[in-house]
Amino acid sequence: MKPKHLWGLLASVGLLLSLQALWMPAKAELGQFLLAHNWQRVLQGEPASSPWPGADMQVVARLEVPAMGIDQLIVNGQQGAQLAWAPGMVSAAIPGLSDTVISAHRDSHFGFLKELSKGDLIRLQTSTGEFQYRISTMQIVDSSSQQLQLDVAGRRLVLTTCYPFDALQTGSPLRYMVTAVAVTTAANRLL
Amino acid sequence: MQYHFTTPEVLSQRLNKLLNKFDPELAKDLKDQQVQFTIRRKLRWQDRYLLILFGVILSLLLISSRVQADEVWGLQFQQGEQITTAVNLNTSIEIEVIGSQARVEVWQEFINTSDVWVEASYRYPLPDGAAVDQLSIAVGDRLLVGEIQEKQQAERNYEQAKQNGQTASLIKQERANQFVTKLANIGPAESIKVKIGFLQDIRYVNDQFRLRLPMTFTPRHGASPGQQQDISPLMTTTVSDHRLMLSVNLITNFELAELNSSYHAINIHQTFSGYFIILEDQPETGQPARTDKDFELVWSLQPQDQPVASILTWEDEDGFYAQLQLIPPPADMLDERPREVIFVIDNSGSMAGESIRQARQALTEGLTYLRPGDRFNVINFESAAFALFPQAVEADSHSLALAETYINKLAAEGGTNILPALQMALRDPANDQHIRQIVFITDGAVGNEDEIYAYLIDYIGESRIFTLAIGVAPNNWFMRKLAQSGRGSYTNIGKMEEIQEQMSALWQRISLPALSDICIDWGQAAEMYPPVIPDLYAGDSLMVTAKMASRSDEVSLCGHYNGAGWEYTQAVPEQTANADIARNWASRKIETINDNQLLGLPLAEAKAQILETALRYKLLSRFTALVAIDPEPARAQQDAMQQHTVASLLPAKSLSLAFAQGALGWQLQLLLGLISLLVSGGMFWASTRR
Repeated sequence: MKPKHLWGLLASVGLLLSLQALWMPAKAELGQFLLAHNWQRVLQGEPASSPWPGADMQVVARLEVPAMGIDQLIVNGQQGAQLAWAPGMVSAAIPGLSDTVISAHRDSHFGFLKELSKGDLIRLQTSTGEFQYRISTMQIVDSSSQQLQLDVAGRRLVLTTCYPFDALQTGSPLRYMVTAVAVTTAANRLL
Repeated sequence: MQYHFTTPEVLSQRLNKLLNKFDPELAKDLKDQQVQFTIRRKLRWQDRYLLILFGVILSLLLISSRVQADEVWGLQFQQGEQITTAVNLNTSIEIEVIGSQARVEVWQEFINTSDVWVEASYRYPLPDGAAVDQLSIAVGDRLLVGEIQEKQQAERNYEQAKQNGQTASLIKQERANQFVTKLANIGPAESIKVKIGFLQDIRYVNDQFRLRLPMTFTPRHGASPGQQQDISPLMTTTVSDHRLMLSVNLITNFELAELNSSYHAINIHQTFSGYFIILEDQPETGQPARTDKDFELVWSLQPQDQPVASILTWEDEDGFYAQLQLIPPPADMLDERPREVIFVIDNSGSMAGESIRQARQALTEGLTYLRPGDRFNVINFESAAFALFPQAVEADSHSLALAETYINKLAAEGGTNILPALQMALRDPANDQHIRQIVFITDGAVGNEDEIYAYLIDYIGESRIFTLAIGVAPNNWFMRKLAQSGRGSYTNIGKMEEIQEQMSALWQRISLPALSDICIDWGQAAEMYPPVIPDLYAGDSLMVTAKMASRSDEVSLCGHYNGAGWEYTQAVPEQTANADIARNWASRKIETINDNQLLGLPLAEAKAQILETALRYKLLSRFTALVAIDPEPARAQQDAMQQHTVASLLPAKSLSLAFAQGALGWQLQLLLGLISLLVSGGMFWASTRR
């Protein structure tokens, strides 16, 4: 085969790959934008609805790290379909009442996790109130042999993402896990 | 000025012509150099680098797509279009080897680590020819137990359960290479235990027993010691790592010469009924090796100078069951006994093309297995039958050459009429020294089975019949029956590409008879399968199963071995194995009833007999099926309950969750994409420069 015939094929493959790859971070940005409208409705006490037709998720919370200027909308569910658009919260979690787990991809929303340090303040706003947490530990865990233990009466916020942060390959069994403990606030006491 | 598109080669040729007019000497020199030059020019270094890069990228892409396409065994959860693999906690495999069969029981435990109610499907790879006949599934506190029922009733129950919204599995006799069942209503953190049982054949080839079990279903994950220390005891607990337990209970009376596992380290313990084998734990992990290799156990017997027998038994309220396995001495202990081989080949129109071509080749190869002193003949048939020689002749260079020419001229034409060919093949009287083997090769349908069968029974005499059925003809059972009654063997060649391979294997197998004219006396009336005992060939094994009223003290065997009479007596042991001895006997019985029906037994009677046997011994058959029904109806409104029920259904204290996927991997893909673009740009540049 002459290289002459190959370059066109290779160019189209490269173009397709690049476009598909770029669509992923674009989707993550777009998701936040599209969820914003829905979030306003949730705050006004309206019933949760799909942010766009066919979306298998609802926006359930807003996550803020004031020190870093992070402000993200969180959906329920942790499957790929949800995490592609926004960080996802374990459906069984009820912030303020139980431990809350939020996960996202390290190469989209949760890349900032590596910048977090002990003592940082995290704010989580839901339709029932606002909760504040301070980071207590950062760990690396092996997801093939460990599982998240969710205390249904707990008061912690756990953020997880893939580890290592700059790995090009996906599929690593390692996870980076940030644990924050609840800071008592007026809203917290209310519950 | 006009530009012409020319290649360097054309250009240099023109220059050469021009130069030739002025200075032929120089032109010739240049031409030689030119040849070298053009050869070197074919691939320049840029091109090579580009090609290598292109290859690397292509293989990278292939690898990444292959990883995704990997077959997944075990339990998978389905939520809408999302499919996730369940965490496999434990796997236990118990194998019991009885004679030439093994009962395999696989027990696997999974956990629903998602936080929602899910549906799941369970898949397990089955070895060739195995069918699951035992099934039980426990989901939380619910239990589904499979039961063998009359087929129509099983189908009704299954349909009914489905209409009620219950999860149900129905397994019929059709064999597949995997076992699949569906499960619904698995709650968060609920565990699922699946247990399946199936029978698997053990191959005896080249004086070795071989048990092979695929291990691809065990979870694979990279162990990463050292990570554990980083974990705060408050937050995560270590869910017990997947544990694999595998044990083999090898029940045998034979003395073994070797017992090895091909790919895994094993521990062997001697028991009163044989050997108990378990996978050895690796010192560093305290776990058996979880390799991608199949588990393969190989064992062979202490070489004997006589055929040896092993008897395994079982007793139940109906009677006493015995399974006798006969093993010949190694080939070098055997005298070569002269044979008389009658090759009978179907050259009817349906064999046209690849079939006849391969059959011709295979037959020619069959001739090479004849030894000096052997006799042979070639018979071909379509509507009529023709023989190469009026009767079997000595296999010498002359007759073999004639036969080869004859075989190569065989063309496929005409109808299929077996009877004249069989008559011709059985016409020759058998002599005492030669063992007479008729090898029958056909692909056709037969119409007058009972007539042919009656003829065979009357005239078979001392001839042995080996049948080779090509393709899936409706009369394959008849070919098997002919071989069974003719003390030979039956081979079905399903794929045309396998004709030659399978026939070579047959030539090899039947070239050295070890023990012939075998008789077995159980000491009392016994219902024995196969009813007619075939000969035993070198490297092969023979299994006979029988049912009698009660235990006999001993069984006597006789036969013809190394040119002399052979007698052998063995004590019958008390109950040494398990109920599979009885089930094995029963499945042979069902096979025989099936054949009897095809030879004239009325359907109603055959059905009654088969049903009685199959239900009594819990066997899958034409008239029975295995059905398992979940006592609890599945929820129709799964989505609605996901949100509301989960919180209240959370276990009292805590909930274990699997970590979510943590990366999209777009950077790597972008990198690959950009490299491809870059390289293609480079290639474009390189191609325009030429």
